[in-house]
Amino acid sequence: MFKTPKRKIYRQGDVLIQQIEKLPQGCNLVEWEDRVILAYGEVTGHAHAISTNYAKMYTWEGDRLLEIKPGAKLVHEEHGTIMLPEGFYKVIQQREYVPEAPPRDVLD
Amino acid sequence: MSLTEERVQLTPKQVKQLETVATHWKNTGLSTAKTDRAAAEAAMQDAYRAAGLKPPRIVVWLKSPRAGATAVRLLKSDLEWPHNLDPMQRSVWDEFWQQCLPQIQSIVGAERWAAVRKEHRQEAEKRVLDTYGHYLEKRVKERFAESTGIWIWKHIRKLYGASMLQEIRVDVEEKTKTNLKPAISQEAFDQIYQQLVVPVTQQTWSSVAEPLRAMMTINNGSLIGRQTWECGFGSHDAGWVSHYDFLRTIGVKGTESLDGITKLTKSCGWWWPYKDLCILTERPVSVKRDNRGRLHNEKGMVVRYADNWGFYAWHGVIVPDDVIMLKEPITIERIAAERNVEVRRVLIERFGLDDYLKNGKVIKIHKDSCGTLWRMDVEGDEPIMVVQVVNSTAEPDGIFKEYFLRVPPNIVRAKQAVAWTFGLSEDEYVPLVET
Repeated sequence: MFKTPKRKIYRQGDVLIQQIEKLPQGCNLVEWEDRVILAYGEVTGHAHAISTNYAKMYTWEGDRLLEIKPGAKLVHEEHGTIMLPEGFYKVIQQREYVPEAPPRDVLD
Repeated sequence: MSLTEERVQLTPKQVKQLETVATHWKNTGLSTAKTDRAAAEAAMQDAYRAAGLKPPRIVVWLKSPRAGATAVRLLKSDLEWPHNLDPMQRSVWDEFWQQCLPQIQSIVGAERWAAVRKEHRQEAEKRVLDTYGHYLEKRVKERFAESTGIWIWKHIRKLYGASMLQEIRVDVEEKTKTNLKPAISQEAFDQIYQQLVVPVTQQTWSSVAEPLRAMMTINNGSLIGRQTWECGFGSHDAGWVSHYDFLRTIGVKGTESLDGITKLTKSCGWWWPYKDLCILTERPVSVKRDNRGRLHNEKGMVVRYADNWGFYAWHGVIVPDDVIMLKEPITIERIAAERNVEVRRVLIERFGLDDYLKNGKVIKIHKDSCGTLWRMDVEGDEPIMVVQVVNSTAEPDGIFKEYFLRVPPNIVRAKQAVAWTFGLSEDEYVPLVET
């Protein structure tokens, strides 16, 4: 009796990274200059980011996906750094419930 | 060559172009640039001609769609002379009148105008002199001005004629569509519709023009009930107009009869075409929206026109001005007294959800390592369910900041609530690292 292995997840504040098996075919590369930015703080301007030497971002059907090389660090001015293992991931932004409307992104 | 092969298909490059074109039309639809009156008047005349009509002899410019609608209602009213107008209607009337007067004089011609004046002068003199004697020159002038005014007003109302919107806007588009349809492949049609018309319409019509229309109906003074939509929407027609304009830019022939309306879309706001009179209005001077494109402004009106007409909204919810301008601080009593559920939600948000919860009767539903789930019942609305969580990283002063996140009312456990905020089930939500 084995349970299906859970997908690994990492959380840094309002951003969550969920492991996926591979990149889907036809996803689009998003160009970043020196840091791949996962989310910007609305008020502070702080960012959840990974160096482009270790990460590539793609978009696929509205999702943002990451290709991570060994040594990648997810950093943020106000949160502890997370070492991300090599692999593929999906970026999930925390959201808040709004009655009778689509959920609203939480941005700290 | 078969018929289907001759039909227009979009090249991959043209499909890619659609996104840029959509942005262009979205900007056109949301434009707050100064209205180009000369361009708009020329375009309006083109639109009349395209429908096989003579351009109108009288053209009146007003500053907002509400002013336009008010002028139309005055025209359609049975007022012999507009006494007792409220200040807003009076200012529309003044602008309308000042512009019409010279145009009517030129239409009736110098000779007839002199005759009309003479006739009314004599009649006024007779009536006043008979009653008050020779020294009442001032009263004569007043009576004269009023009776010639009535004559002109009657003349305008006789002259302006029926609405030509059906002919100018609807029929011309129908005809263009019918003519173009066999020439365009279904695939190209769908691509343009989905990637251009739908997003532009969503951004300009659904999120701006629709609320505007609602506000004009609600807030238009004592002439309410005679609202008329015999108008083209100028810049807010960007959605459907973009379709034909794109076909034109890729070389499809047969859209020419829509050139006038297309130019109107690019140059002015709402317009009311009648047989011999056209009311044109200006674009708004400001439109404020949130990052989802919904009308939103924390500091003032979301849509404002040069005559200072406009309204207030919070993330797409239209609210009374005091909810935004906060002339008085929001109180628990004000929130409780608000009967509109949507407005009440905005008030709670502006008041601060944290403070609101602290002030009300809150029930603790569940607590676990992820946080605490609270519920607050609200009369006439779904309960407010919030999860109270603690930041994993300490603030510079060593304190772990607490905050509240609103979750759907059917949530029952704190962990389930936090998982929901990331779109995950309780089972999936097991972070290996959390900072």
